[in-house]
Amino acid sequence: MSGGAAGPGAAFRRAAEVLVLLLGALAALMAQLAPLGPLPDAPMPDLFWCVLSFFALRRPEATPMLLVFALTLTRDALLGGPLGAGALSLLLGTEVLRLRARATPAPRSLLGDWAAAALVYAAAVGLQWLMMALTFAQPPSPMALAPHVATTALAIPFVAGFLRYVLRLGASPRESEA
Amino acid sequence: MARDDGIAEGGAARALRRILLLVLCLFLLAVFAFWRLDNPRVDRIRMSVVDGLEPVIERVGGPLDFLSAMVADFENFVRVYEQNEALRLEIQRLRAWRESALALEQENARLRALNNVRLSPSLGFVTGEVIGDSGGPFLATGLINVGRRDGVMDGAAVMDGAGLAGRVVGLGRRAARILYLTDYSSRIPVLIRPSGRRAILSGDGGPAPRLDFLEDPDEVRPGDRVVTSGDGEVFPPELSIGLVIAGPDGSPRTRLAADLERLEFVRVLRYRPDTSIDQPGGLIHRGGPLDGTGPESGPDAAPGGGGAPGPDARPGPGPDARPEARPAPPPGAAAIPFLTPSLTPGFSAPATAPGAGAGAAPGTRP
Repeated sequence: MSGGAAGPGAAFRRAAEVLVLLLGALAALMAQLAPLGPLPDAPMPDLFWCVLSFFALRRPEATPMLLVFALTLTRDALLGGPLGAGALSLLLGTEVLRLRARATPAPRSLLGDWAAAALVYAAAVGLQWLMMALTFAQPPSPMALAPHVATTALAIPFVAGFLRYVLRLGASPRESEA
Repeated sequence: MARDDGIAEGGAARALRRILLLVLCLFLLAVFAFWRLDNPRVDRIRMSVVDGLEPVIERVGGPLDFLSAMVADFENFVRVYEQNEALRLEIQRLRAWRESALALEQENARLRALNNVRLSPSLGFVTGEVIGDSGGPFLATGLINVGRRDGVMDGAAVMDGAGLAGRVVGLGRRAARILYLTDYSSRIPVLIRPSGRRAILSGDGGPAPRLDFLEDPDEVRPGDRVVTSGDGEVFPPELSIGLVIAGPDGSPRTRLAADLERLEFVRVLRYRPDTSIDQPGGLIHRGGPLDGTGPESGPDAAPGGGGAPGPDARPGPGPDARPEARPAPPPGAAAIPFLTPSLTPGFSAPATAPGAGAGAAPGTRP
């Protein structure tokens, strides 16, 4: 598939994928908002990031920057975290993954993509922590953040598997051509 | 030119993309700075977003709630024997408490009858359902489906059936955000019973918040009750919070009475503190008979005849109790109309604001 030769079919497909990103990200947000109490037995993974990182790595053309910006800002408003800091860190994280998707030739290793998504998320959480600490807010201790990052890292392959094999999204370019 | 993945490769497009990213980043930095500098205003904007999405959250939350309840039921089923034993012990303990409570209730009724006590009419509550949690590591907050239209006020205390759970930090029309006591930024002035020592209850993300700045720690023992002190007039005094326990490092902590893991419905208190008399000038109207500086001062002048109250004048009991509308009291008694209803025996007071009084709105009780 070439971008220059893209016809109406490809444009329609891309628009559908953007819509799936929008709905998937909102569904992940709603799942995160589920009232499990502030002290659940296990920390809640960031499902929103799982969806966003999958699209940034596997369907970067269906992950417009402005949509990511709007979604991350809505996430900050709904979840109640440090407003702006979460959106900024996730927007930058998405761009880093997009750079990887552009720089690394397909097909990429699944393990590599998983590690990249997890590491970038850890860096994004670290950036939020740093911004809060620098502005004299009350950030949690870094040790308290580690379980959340770990559960998110563990959830990434499950969400990616659901999007790839159930919704049939994000096949690598070589696979789509076959 | 575009690549296989559809990302534009042209120099101009790339430059444009970088500029857009820079602009968005700067905007988000500004939003963050604004949030840190002017939190209440940003929270209002944030709560308007929550207000807009509240029906969706509630609808989507229903099935997820059902799933969560199913998991909880299964866990209960697995631990049924253990729970049965615990419940038997609890019943035995509560029987002893019941006897004490009955005796105290009778004593309380007798004392009230003797003293002709009038309870403050300004405490009511509205019950709401928890429809969302923060789900992130940085804040321990929740969303409830009652807001400004239900008479919820910013900063109001939020309780479950057993004790204080947190306070309202964001207020929308149909929804409100609660900051739980376990949150890192939660600080509540408390009183330890029976020693009467004061402390600050500080959340640290764990299930048992710390007791900081504790007066005389030697006087405080595990099992002592922790209640709100009412300092700062944000919370009513004597709201139950929990019991003192010793933390792993020996420092005093609080085991919360509220079950934050299973919050479904919460009560949001609608509390207006009684007017406090902290300076004598607050009781006397400017230009009144005791104020010699007013243009109409003198023994024959009516109180309040000097016109509008000055900046130090305190609010009166209500719109029907304006000093101008009352007959002139005798000299020396000008302060009486300015006393709050709870300070005036037998005074039948109107509510200080719509919805502030007992039973003033549906879903409230005194």
